[in-house]
Amino acid sequence: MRLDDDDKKLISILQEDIPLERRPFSKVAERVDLSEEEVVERIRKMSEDGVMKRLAPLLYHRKAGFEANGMVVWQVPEDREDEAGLRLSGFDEVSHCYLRETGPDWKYNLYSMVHAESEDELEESVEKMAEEIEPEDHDILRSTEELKKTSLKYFNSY
Amino acid sequence: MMDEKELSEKDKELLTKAQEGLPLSETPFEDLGEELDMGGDEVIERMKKLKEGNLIRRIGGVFDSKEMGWESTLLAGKIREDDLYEVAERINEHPGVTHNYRRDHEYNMWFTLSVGPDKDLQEEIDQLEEKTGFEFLQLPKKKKYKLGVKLDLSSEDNR
Repeated sequence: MRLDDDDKKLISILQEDIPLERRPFSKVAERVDLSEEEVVERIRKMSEDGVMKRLAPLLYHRKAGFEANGMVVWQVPEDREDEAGLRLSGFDEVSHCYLRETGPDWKYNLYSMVHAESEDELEESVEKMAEEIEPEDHDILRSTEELKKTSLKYFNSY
Repeated sequence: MMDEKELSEKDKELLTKAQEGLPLSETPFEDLGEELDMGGDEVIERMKKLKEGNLIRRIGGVFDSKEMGWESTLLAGKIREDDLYEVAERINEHPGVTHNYRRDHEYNMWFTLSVGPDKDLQEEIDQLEEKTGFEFLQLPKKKKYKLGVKLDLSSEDNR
């Protein structure tokens, strides 16, 4: 989909909050200088074309009681990576699971974010996962400090 | 701060349904309410409370960065402890760096970098390496198996 300047401006507005009013897009329309009807039309088009995944309330990620989190990296042979990725995804403790490229001194190809109530429980969960996917190697990387966390602003200059 | 346990059954139903996406019409809250046997005003009132209670972070659009021509990757660096904060500052200056964590590993700095269609990802990485004097391991995503969890709040046993 080709995005014109109005689309870009609309996206930057929709990355904020839409007003909690009966007709939220009439306010949005004023800001982009389009009619309410045209705003809704453009939003529908973006949704149909997959540019916008959804318009929805986003919740705070808060897992009450989940204190111990780790990025667990796994080395799994290529012919088993899909199977392992899907199995890891089946664990409730896993919130994200990705396959990534490896590097010269970095052999791990699967990544999963694992959440647990305690350090012991985290290690237990990871052990259980390891038994199930039988990796060649794995490691838990805990975050010790958040150095930056923000959301991507696509068309901030509009 | 509101807790999930303080949510009424109606709030849970509303959040679960709304997380799938609001109807894309002139009156999204009213139309959402219709599916839940709730008036538009009630939907708006409940959502306002959920925002004030810090359960809802934002009500807005979620976009597909790839569809819009954005490229991104995960990067990791082995940064000398003494240089860590200065390097972090230089990296974090980049508007395309959205997350940066210090981790308990030889590779102690992990961050994500995204660039728009008018920029080249590798060029931006090269510039960051030049600016910091460190080389970064590039770990682009090949496949997504699971991405986040939408909270299913409609049933008690699902937490």
